[in-house]
Amino acid sequence: MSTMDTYETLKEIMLDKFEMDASALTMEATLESLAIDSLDTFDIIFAAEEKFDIKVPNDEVEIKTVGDVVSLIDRLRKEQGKV
Amino acid sequence: MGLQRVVVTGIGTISPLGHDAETHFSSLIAGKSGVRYLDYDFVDKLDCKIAAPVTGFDPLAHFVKNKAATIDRVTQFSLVAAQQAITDSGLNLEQENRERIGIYLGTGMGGAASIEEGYVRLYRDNANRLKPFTVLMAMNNAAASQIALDFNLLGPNFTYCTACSSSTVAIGEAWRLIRTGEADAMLAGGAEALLTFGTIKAWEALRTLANEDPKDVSKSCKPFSKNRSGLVLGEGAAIVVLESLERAQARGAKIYGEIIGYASGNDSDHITKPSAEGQARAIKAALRSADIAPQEVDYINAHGTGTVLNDATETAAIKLSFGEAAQKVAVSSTKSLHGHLMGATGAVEFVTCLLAMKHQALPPTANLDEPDPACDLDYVANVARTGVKVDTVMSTSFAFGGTSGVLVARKL
Repeated sequence: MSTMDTYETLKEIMLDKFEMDASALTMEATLESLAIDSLDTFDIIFAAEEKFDIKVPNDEVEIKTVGDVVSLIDRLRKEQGKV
Repeated sequence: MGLQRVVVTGIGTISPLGHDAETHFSSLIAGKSGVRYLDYDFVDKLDCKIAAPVTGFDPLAHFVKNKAATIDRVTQFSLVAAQQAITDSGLNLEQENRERIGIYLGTGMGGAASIEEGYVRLYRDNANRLKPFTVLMAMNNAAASQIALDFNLLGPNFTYCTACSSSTVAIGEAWRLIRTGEADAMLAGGAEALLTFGTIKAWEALRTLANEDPKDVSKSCKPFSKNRSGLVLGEGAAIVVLESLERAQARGAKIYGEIIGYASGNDSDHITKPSAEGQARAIKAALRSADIAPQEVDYINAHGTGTVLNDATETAAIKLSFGEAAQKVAVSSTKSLHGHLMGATGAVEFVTCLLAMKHQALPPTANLDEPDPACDLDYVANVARTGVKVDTVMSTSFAFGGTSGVLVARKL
């Protein structure tokens, strides 16, 4: 799965949870600009953990942009042998 | 500042009989029942397959997707009822001192469905983690807190958890705050949404649920009738806006009635078995608080659960506290039609009392087919009374655990 695939899957997760314009979900968009707060972020990570079969450690939840989430997922998938 | 007179200026209700207070009340007057077979996927595993659910409620008609998914059903009901009450009151919160507006809400089991959903994941589905919002959806104070957040209320925010009297107590305690001038306005009421597999099973185990009426399940709840067999679980929410009379008049608000008395007390007798003496103490204390004689009360919306023990005990309590006036006062149990909304029931029944005064009409005790010598008051049996004098009303709530709550209101 490429970074692009991760991004697309993450987009699906987010669009399923939030009423937002898909075009706003760029890699550069900050979660704050999308009105996604820290709790919502946990919720997204929860769904991503299920979807990508990874476990996000507590101290990894320092995320600013959509791209940060994508990188985190990709890194953890590699580290946790889920690629 | 002396004690303020406290009035109700707004009401909101979502019940098994309607998604607003007027629909709820007109259904009661028409004798329409909210008791039905549940159509949930677990119904085959229930011994008691009936309840009084809120039907046709679409969370997405009220909340955006991620909000609807991250608040429990009990909070959804609460927010809808709160919005109705605020709109109805005509309060413009933008112009108010929000530090002096708060929320007191009663609930028995809070986010029961969210707790259960979590356990289903863990124990049935063998998942090893829960949704991040689980605590925030399940905690008992979630509903009140979401109301405070959504309407930016900066005053006191308390959740009362005294089982079946929770919301009566919440309204009564809010009454105190307005009365003493500690708050300008209070939202107060209750909410419950406990029609989950686990909760219904737990109630089944207590052997207090009504048998299904073999001919018509909608008639299964039969308060004060000799053939009563138990209560029917319900769900919903009701919230009122309380203000001082002076303030309400100054802003030209519509007034449903004045709360002239409130009392709560504790049976300290048995965890479930009701006590006539305990109930009578609370009723007498409420009459003293209202400074009225029993004969001034036109209508009592009784706790009237439909259990063998409650209805006979409550009848005895009314006789003990009202004396001769017990034979004259009209008493009804609207639970016969809307079921027992537990933590929300007192608020729904208090709203029912307010609308009884507004419409000068008494909702009936439905399904009262067989007179019981132990229940020999005027229960407004089966048919509503319209065009009658309803100027002073009492709403009683008696709870597992022993906490009673009694509110007395009067038409202005």
